[in-house]
Amino acid sequence: MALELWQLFGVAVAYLGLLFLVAWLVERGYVPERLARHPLTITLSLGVYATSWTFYGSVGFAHSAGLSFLTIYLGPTIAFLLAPILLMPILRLVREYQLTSVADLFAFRYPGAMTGLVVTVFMLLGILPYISLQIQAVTQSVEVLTGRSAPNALAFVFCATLTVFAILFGARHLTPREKHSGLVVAIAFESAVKLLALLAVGAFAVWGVFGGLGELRGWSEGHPEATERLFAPVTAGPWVSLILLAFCAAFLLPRQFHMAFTENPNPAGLRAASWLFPLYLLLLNLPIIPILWAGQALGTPTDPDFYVLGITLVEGHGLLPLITFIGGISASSAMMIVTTIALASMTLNHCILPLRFISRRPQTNLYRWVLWGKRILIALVVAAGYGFYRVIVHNQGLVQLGLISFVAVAQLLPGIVGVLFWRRGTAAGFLAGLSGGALIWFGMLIVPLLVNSHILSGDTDLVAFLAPSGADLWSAATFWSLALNAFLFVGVSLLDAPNEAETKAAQACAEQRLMPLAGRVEAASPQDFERQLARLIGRGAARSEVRKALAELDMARDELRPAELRLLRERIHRNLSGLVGPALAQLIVDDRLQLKRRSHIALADGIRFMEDQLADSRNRLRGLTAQLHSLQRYHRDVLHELPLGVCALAPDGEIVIWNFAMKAVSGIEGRDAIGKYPEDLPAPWGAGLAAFVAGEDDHRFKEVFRVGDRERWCNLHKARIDHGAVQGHVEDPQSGGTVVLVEDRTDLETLEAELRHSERLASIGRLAAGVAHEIGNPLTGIASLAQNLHYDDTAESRQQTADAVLEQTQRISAIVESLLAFSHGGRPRPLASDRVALAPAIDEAIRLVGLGRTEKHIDFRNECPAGVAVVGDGQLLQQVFVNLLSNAADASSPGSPVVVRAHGADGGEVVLQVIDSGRGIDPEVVERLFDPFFTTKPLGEGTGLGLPLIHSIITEHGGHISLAPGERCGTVVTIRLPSADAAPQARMESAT
Amino acid sequence: MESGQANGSRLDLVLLLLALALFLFVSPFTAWWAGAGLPWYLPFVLWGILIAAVALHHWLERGHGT
Repeated sequence: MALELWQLFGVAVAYLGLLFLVAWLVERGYVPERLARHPLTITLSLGVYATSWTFYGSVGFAHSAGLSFLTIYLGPTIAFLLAPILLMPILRLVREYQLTSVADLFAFRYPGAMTGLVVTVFMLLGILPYISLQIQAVTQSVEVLTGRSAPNALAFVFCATLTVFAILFGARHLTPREKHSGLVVAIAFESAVKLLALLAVGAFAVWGVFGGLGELRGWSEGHPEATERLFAPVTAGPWVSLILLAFCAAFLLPRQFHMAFTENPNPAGLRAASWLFPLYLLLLNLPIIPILWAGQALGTPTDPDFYVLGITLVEGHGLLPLITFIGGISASSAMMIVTTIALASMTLNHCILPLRFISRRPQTNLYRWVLWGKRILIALVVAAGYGFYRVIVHNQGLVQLGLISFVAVAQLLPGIVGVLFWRRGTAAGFLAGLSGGALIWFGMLIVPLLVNSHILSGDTDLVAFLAPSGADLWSAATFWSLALNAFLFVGVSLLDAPNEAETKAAQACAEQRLMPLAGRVEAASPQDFERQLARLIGRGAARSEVRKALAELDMARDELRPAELRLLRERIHRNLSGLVGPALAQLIVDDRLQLKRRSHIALADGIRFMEDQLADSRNRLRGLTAQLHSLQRYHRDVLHELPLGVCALAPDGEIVIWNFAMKAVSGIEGRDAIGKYPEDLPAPWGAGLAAFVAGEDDHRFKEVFRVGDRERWCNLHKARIDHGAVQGHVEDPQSGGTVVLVEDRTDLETLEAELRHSERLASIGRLAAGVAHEIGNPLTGIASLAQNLHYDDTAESRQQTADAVLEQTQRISAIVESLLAFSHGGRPRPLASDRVALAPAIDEAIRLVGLGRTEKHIDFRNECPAGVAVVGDGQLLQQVFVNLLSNAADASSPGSPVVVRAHGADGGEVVLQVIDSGRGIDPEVVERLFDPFFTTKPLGEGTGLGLPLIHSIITEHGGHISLAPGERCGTVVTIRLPSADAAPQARMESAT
Repeated sequence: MESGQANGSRLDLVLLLLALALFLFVSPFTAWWAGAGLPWYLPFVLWGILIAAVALHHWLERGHGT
């Protein structure tokens, strides 16, 4: 039964429409997204490998080359078997660096404007025969089914229809990173259709033509020459070369790369495909030999390439030819749609857009440009395939055309070795090798094709020279092209030292991990990013890209931290890479989002990056590396758990470490501090830390940070990390910077203040009897004067009495004021830096001490010169003097002198001595006198806190205290304090 | 925690599978099965064995939670 052309066209369009419906349903969410991510879907989508060549041509190939047709599927089996070391690393690179095509991958590994361009142009040329193969298969299949020569317009109409569907599938709208979940499911659907169609034809061949498996075996036993013809080419033909070519094609063909890596939504799917995809290919090939033998048994009049269709027509089976035709359309259309989408993307990214950008004509709308660019290029690629189909004479077998493309794709093999394993490979080496291999390919395979098609005239001398008679053309072409390619790649790479970009790219590829981000972006905010990008990619696209990147990174729009902005730049770079390719994305960010020239590694990110990497790769570490990792974790934990605030600054002042204690002290989370400069931290920490880091002091004591109602008392210490900042010519990013330690003394200060207060109150308690006496005397006087008032009859005498009363009350008031001043305050407060004149301060202390020791009549002598003054806190120093004089009085016998002297000394100091003539001190206990709760007084008379507090106060003032026996008897207490009259510098030195 | 040794051993398994594939289809053994007058479906059986071995390897990897 012959089918009409219009019927076939209608079926083909209806089928493509069904495919589009499938894709549309998936993209609109009517079909669960997990279907697109399912390993079986991913495996079936990889079935785009099987084109018309497989569907129709395999039978013809088996007819002419026996079992050699299997090589085209054994190659992918080996490639997918190596998925863990071959495909997964490429997938990781593609995902991490947002690469969208095989040209992107090579342009990333071999940086330079030419790499992507050369790969793209070569792939375009190399794949044209393959596209023309599909067109030829469809037109010939129509001829077989209609029984008439296909009209010239048929191929054109087929190409036009496919162009429309390719645009609908791949360029209907712009998707990030070429992700079309609908396309994945549609191609998987097509793969299932062509498998079912081929199995149906195979089943028809076995049971419909032969009558069953036993009959098929019987036929083969009856025709031993048929079996021999199958097996003979295994040892005599280009068996190994074809396996090698198919191995390369399995993942380097643009359509394979597109489906396996670019569109693949699930890495686990690729792992499962390591055995599912070969199984799919096995099932696809099982019917080939039965179909071949069925065609031979039936004497099918068609070319063996179309036995698949031919045997169904001989028996006049109504529906099967149509199913087979749909299977063929599936095979051709899937290949052409995916290939044109992939090639259009490559051409746009590496040929068109760079020219546009190099011409410095700012885009008004990048998205529209990309979208329409892809649409036009899809049409142009199909048109180019159609043109190639038109110019070649159609006497080429389907397999021959396909193998020409396979040899072309195999030229990427040396380059892929450089991507995955050989870091020394350079862009120059890659381009030289690819060019050499391409020349051989063109000379040995394309020129003869053009000569046969009468496009070129002349001899094919190169073929005769490189593949002398008897040698197999495919083996010779594969060997010579790859040999020259590899030789030039290795030779030129070794002669050409890799530049910095190549070294980094090679490292990123070979180690399969991201590199730490270096440098600081000149743009200071996301808004700056938008403004800068708008000049090159248009305002709308710039805003959209920046906001998308911010959302992906979960960053605020007012983000200003340099490290975070560096991350933002990197994310925009990658997103643009998915949109316009890595080369152009690099061009855009280098041009508009420049890094500061003399900037250090963003250490915050470096540390974050390395810790992430170590965490990710800890399973793979072993031996000394694992131990070093454990040590690193231990040190990190020590640093973070340290009960002392640690804040480390990078050489450029950026905060890189902010430990838990720092968070507890400041209330600022590490994630909010890391990556910022100290001055950008919230008040009061920002200004305080920044001033300390910028200042000359390495230590600051009792710095007060007021947070709301609370005060934080902190000692600050800092140290420069200078050693090893530069090692030879290589700057070590981990060296340099500053480490700041923050010691929270708030609790200790509160305790000390309370202790001092208690001690003062205790002193007042000890003075109580004397105070009562001192106040009692004037009170008695006042009472007497008040009684006398009754008898004062003159105004003058009343005036005298009133003056006397006033004098007595002033005496009481002075005593009370002294006591109040002495006892005041139990809360910590900042150390005052007042000028304290010693003579009046000692007088006041003597008066206070004298209140409680009236019965001993101690002879206090203040011999301090009038002008001697120190810098300090008057109240605290008063406490010191009172305690010292009390101790001296306690140790002295009644009536004995206690002398206080003071004089200036070298180094901006004042030396004050309290000398008593008491019983002296035992030299054995001198060292313990400043220990808390140590006392030489009888039980109940001393707290043991006086001298320790004195020591603490003097030390806080930057002074020094010591005790020594007197010359003859008694004790000499010597205090050195910063002089109020010394220069500030001298005071500072004295204090430190 | 998975050890680096276990990871390495599974990489060795991949190389072992490669060796098996090369032995079956790219070695003098190929000439042997091609010339031994065996049934036409023999290459498919060998191919199936290789696929089964890869599937087993994949199953073992999944068992290790990778």
